Amino acid sequence: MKLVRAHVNNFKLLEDVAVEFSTDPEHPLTVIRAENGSGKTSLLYALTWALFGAEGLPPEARKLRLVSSAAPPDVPVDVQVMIEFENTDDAGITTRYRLVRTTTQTPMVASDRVEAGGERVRLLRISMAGEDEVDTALLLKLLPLRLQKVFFTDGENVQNFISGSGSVDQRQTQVHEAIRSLLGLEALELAAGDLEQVLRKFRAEVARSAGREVEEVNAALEKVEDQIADLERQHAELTDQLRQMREQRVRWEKELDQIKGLGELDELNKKISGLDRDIATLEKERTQALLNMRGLVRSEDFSWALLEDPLNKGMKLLDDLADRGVIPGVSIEVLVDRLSLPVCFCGESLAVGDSDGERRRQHLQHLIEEQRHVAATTQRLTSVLHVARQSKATHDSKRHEGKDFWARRTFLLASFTEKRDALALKTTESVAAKERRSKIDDSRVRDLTTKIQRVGGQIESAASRVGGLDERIKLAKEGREEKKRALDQAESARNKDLMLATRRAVAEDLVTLAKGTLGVLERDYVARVGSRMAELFMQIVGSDPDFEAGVFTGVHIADNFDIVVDTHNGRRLDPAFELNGASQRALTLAFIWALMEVSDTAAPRIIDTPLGMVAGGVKRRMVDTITRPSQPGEPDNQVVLMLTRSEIRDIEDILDDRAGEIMTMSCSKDFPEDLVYPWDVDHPVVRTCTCSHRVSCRICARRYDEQHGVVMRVGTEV
Amino acid sequence: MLERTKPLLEAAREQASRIDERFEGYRALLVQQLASVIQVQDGGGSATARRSRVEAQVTAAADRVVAQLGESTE
Repeated sequence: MKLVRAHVNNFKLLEDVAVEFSTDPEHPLTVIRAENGSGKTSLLYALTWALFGAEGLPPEARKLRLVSSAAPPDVPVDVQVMIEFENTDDAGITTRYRLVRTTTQTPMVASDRVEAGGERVRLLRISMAGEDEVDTALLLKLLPLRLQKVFFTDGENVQNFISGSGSVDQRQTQVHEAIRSLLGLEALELAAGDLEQVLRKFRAEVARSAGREVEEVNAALEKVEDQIADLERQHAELTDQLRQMREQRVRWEKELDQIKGLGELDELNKKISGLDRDIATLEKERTQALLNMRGLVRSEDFSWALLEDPLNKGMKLLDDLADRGVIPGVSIEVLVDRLSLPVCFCGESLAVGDSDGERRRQHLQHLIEEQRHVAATTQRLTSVLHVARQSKATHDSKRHEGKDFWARRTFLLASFTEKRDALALKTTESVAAKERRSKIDDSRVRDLTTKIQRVGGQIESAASRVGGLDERIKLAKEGREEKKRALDQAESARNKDLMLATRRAVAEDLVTLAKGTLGVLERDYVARVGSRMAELFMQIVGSDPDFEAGVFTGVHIADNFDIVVDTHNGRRLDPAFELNGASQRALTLAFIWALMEVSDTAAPRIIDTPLGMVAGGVKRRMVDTITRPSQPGEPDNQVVLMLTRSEIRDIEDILDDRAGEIMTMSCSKDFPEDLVYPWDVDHPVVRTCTCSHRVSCRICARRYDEQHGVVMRVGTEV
Repeated sequence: MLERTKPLLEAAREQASRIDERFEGYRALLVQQLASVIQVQDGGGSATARRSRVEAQVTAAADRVVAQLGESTE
């Protein structure tokens, strides 16, 4: 099925909007370009409403009125959506149809409500001979309501197959239903069931015509078949319970792993105690290092470090004084003492009465007087000289041994820094460990451990019961084959009614065929959808499964119909929680496209604002992948993308190449803030033009268009 | 047939090859019958009415088989 054109009247702000869809296989894309609030969602709803009725609208939208909120009260408004589409059957014959859905709504005075009339739907087949009305049931065959999410979706809901609708079970059900519906599994299951009933009826007729003995054998066969059906039902129920229990166990184990990832409580407590001890020791060591540093700055070494140059200059001055004999000074007591002796220091006489002796004594007296005069200064200088020499000798010795101030400072500073850093590290570790400990809900750990153990036991028991049922089913089926052989023998001996026997044989072959086909479809085609989905997804996200630094190694559809993302080392990612928004969209689109390809379905896919969370290479590859013209042997692709200007940015070249139709929708409400030109209207309305992302006109021209290379169309410029 | 039954028919043809070909064209007849039975499923109505239509189809197919078998043994 392909959409050809649509015409919307009085649906929300779409008073009179016509849309042409591209039906060109080489250019399968239709672009509807519109900014927020310019009618994209209204158009999506209008098309959905036309095809599926109110049931097709999202629950929240069903309650809303279809007419514009600006429509005057008490004036009935005819809402009408016309869709022209064509369908090509297996024989290759293309038929065009026109669908018209109409209703009348009258806005009520001073109320948001409307008085709604009934819906009228007409489906017309258009041919060279004219138009004839056909059953609207055809619509649901072409586009089953349950597949609406496959055909019509928006940026928000496009991830429904991956992350939407809450529980995992609902997600799996959606995937399962989409596959069943597109592959025709439901119809085949029903057909197999009907054929089995018909077969039973034919068997009973054959048995009746063949006599009591055969009838009894047939009754026994039917009993065994009922038993098998019952066992298979039990088996299916138990298998489903088993699956649910296993999934529950995985969820609990994940939660427990998460908690355990924070550290076992006992281990964490031990670690925290050790860290606290280390912290206390380090605190002491750091304090001591600080005290040592304080001692150092109070020491003589610090003075030498700071004043070495002036001290050396002073030393030199003192040495000069010593060299000149100024210091050390002669002691007065020594001179006085010498006067009491008969011999001078020089060995000459100091005898009283002797002229030389007297002269020397007078000199000594003079020296004593002189010494008395300079003694205080000289003594001080002498004392300083002695202290300075001793201190310098000590300083030089320390420097020689590498124990001077600078060396000790470096050592003490390194020691202090080491202690301080170690303390900071241990403190951080301790804080983190304490935080982890605070998050561990010990009761939850115990609860989960108990639950996992309990469900483990239940799983074991259920698995064993499934095994038992398998065995019983196998035995029952062997019994059925025996009964069938017995029935065949009894019939061939007694039954002469070829017609009845043939009916039974044909019905039996049809049941075998239907069940075998169902098995093939369930198994092989689901695998094919999964495999194609993986190819498309990896293409879009640009992932190489063999690239070790890549995140994804593949995706597949599990036996329970869950879409699973594979990563390295056999691990799996939960697509609902462990994929980013862009990858979730990529995965959903890959699933939808794979499903359509494998089921050989030709139907439009209309997506409103699909690129909201997608950028860069992923955006380009996504658009490139979903708008690719179909290959020979594949059903025609038809894709309608409703895009904002920012979504279009960086993919203009792809749209140029793939789009067969492009139109722009604008809303009068955007003047003067965004629209450049006024429209001369007295109520909000949406208008369309054929402008693309390259050009604009007086209807759609927006401020800043020029900055993005959009030029005014010739003839519409001011 | 609708497009969505294409893979179904493909799979049915593959499965039919495992059924005894009672006469030339028997397997093709079975596949065609299965397709018709599936179409009946789309026709709506009650389960009983639907099963009656299936029964009528299988009966008609059996008649054709009997006729065909008669021809092939003559």
